[in-house]
Amino acid sequence: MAIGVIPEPSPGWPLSGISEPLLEVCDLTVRVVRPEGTAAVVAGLDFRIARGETLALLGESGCGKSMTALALMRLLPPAVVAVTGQVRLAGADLLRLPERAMRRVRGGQVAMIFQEPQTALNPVLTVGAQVAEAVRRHTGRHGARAVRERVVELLGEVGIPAPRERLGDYPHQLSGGMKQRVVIAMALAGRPQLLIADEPTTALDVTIQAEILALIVGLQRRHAMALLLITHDLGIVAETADRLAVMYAGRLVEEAPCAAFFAGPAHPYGRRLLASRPSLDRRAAAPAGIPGRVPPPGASVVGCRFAERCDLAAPACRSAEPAWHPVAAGHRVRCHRWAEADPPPADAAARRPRPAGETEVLLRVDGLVVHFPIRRGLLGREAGRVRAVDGVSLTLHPGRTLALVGESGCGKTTVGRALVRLVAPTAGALWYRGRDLARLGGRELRALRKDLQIVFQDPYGAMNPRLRVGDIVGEGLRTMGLASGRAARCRVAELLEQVGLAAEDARRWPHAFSGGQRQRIGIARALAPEPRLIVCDEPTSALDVSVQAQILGLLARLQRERAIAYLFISHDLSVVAQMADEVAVMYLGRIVERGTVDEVLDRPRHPYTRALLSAVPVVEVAARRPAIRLAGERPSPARPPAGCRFHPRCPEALAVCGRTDPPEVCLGGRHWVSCLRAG
Amino acid sequence: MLEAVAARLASAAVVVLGVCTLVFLLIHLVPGDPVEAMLGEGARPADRVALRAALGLDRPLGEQYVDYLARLARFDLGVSFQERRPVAELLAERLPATLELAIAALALALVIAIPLGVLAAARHGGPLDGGATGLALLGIAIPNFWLGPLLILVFSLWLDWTPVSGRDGLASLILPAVTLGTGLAAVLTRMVRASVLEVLGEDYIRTARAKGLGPITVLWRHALRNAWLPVLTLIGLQLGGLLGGAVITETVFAWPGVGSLLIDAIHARDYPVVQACVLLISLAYLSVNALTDLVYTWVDPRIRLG
Repeated sequence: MAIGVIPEPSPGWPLSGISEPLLEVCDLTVRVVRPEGTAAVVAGLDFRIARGETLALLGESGCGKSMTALALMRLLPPAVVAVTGQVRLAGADLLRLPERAMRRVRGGQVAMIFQEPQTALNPVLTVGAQVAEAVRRHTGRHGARAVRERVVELLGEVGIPAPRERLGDYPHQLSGGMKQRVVIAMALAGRPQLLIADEPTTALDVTIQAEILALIVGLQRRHAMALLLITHDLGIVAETADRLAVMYAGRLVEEAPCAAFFAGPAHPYGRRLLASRPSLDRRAAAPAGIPGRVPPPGASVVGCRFAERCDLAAPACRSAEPAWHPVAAGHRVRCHRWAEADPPPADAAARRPRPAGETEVLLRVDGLVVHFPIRRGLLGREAGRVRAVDGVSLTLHPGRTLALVGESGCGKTTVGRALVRLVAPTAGALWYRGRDLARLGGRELRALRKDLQIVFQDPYGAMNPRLRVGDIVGEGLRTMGLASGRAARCRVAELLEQVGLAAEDARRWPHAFSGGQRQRIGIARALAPEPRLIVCDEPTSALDVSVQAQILGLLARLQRERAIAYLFISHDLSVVAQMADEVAVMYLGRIVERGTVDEVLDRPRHPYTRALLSAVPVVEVAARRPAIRLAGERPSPARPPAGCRFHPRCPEALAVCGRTDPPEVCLGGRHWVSCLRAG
Repeated sequence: MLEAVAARLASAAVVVLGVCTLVFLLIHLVPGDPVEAMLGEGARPADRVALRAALGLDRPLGEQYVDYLARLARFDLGVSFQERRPVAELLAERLPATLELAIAALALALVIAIPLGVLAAARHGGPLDGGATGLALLGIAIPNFWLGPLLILVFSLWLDWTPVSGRDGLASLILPAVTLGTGLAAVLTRMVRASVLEVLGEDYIRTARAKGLGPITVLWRHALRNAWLPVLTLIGLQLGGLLGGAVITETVFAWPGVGSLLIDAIHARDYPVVQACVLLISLAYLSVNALTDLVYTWVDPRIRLG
């Protein structure tokens, strides 16, 4: 493998427009020491960030982008990782600083924000104490009072309401968004010149994500900080960054100003990535995805690392790693064939025709209620109820997709599980073929289970690691007595091929497969008993964009071929726009708006739907909606507000909204909304 | 919080009642006739009847049970057959010795295990870690009935530094405490090391380092406060076990504690004493565990303020 390559001098480089680089990274290489030898997971990175500039480092999981951030901060364990190259911050080479001096840089000149706010804070220290540590470390303030005042100031600056009262709170008492604000306050304490944000909003809901991104960008401008934003989301890049650097399998493959990149990425990977991204407004064509998978971190590859998956690849791509080619001022690419035009898409008419008009009803959900009791004390008496689902009515049709959209904790997953009777409904009816599934039990229910299947969100956790793939896929066939022995094995092989795997994969174990492949196994398992309805519970939210597009394409094809109905549960409106025929938006256990995908996404009437839509990061500048900020936090489903459940956060709320539970109103067509202001 | 404490105490009370009931039934569950077992085969029938009446075994079971509980409530544990003295008195004599040994052994274990475990975790994979892990393995593998006599051989018989056995001043405490303490220290070291190692891999440790904190602050302030929690549970379990008397160590060193009392009583078929010892051991275990849970509740803000 070609590692430690000296950056090639290339015309048009260094970038024009960068007057004074704050951070200059040359030939940064991170090698992981493994028993079988060292492997370079980051290979010869070179980039610069000017003062006050935002550079996005874009890449899919495993490409080495987080490794790069940790290497810059020197937070990688030296026993297992060797970092070489140069990282010059305002002239000083961070990789050669003594550890003691580096500690002044960490949290001082360079601060970092992490992906997972739930685990980034110490659970046994108060948030006040954790921010105070950073203040004391980097500002020279030591008096208890002076430190406390500065902590309050910082917490206020990151938008934490009543910061003085929050000082004594422990992390578990704050929501995810608030925790991330605390992490940001900690990062600001040392007045950094460079802020590294590693997927800072990936773990957050879309409305919270929008707020946190706005906060980070606002702070960056106010304090004239440079920002290295590490992300996998092209929408976030488009909305926040000045320039971006695309990383693939440990290598930078393209660097460009954002406008130039989104106008036309030079590298085939960038082009495919952009095409893989579902978009709110691109409902006509299914994204293509990128075939194959990223080489595993540190794999030795001869030639271009993307060649395996590239439809422009020529023999030269497999023998020699491409050098940097200048495309335009400040835009360079590592590709032999960047000037070639894309071949025409192979699967242009992939989009299924939308079934028009009324069709037969497959399953009707009528006033579904699922409450979970909160038990307390010695005798486990019921101290309250989590009203996860509180009166939901839906209709599913054969061959069509109903998307259930909402943020975490809204009850959408519980609806999906109740539909396949993985949880027992508290009240309401599930009418299926003239029978109420909610009232069935024992043998009758088991007989109907073959018709109702589910695909889970987490492809890693949803599979028993001690069962072979063939047993996972075939178990349903055997237990339901649909097939056994040789017939079952043939059927499993057939199913695996239908979902894009090989028949021989039946003999392998789940750990040998990537996330996307595992999700294919999960789909094959759901397909096995030939169901008429599949609940897809966030089936792609754990996957990379390029893989997501493959899985969505597979689901669409299977639906076309078999007229299966999908209940597609998702928090991602762009995915919903692509997959759904109809959409239902859920908030705090209730459906607030429903209708066809065009009705809901193009003419949203409920303020919550509008806020959700406005929060989706969008690549196309013209398609951006003005941001709608929601006040406060989602109330607990154990204590939903009186009247309209959304009214405490609603920007349009009237006094009456706090008293009256809004009835569902038809706006014409199939478009229904529960909002007093819609009447 | 208060509700959690009340619930924990209530569940402990239920278990205490269960333990008392089992101890009461002990005498009835012993195979064969307890009276015959106590008096031997050659006893005269008149003696048997007298003993049966003295033990109350001729009365209905329910009546005996109520009577037993009523006596327990007054701390009346019966009279030892062998010594002809109240059992409570015997226990009161033995308890201080057991307490002394337990505290000394646990203190020694903590002094060895905590620094060793923390250092091993902080220098994970290094020679210090290897040494600590090896020592811990050795400590677990060596049985007390072998280590005790070995220590006596070296320090009492060869070097003549400490008394061979018995309880006579501080010098006599050293060998039993070391025997007992090393075993505990070994288990505890492994636990501390594992717990600190796990915590050091957490995201918030990375956050603390990213703030620019030095390794000592990160270890003491951020890692240890979290690593404590599981270690606390183990210490509670160990203390509970020690308070019931370390039977083997007490026997090896002729240490006059609860453990050796129990062994003597079993040999002599002195049922009231056996019952009382079993009751004491169980109660010590239970109360220390309840206490540990309460401390845990108080130390972890996620439970305290949850």
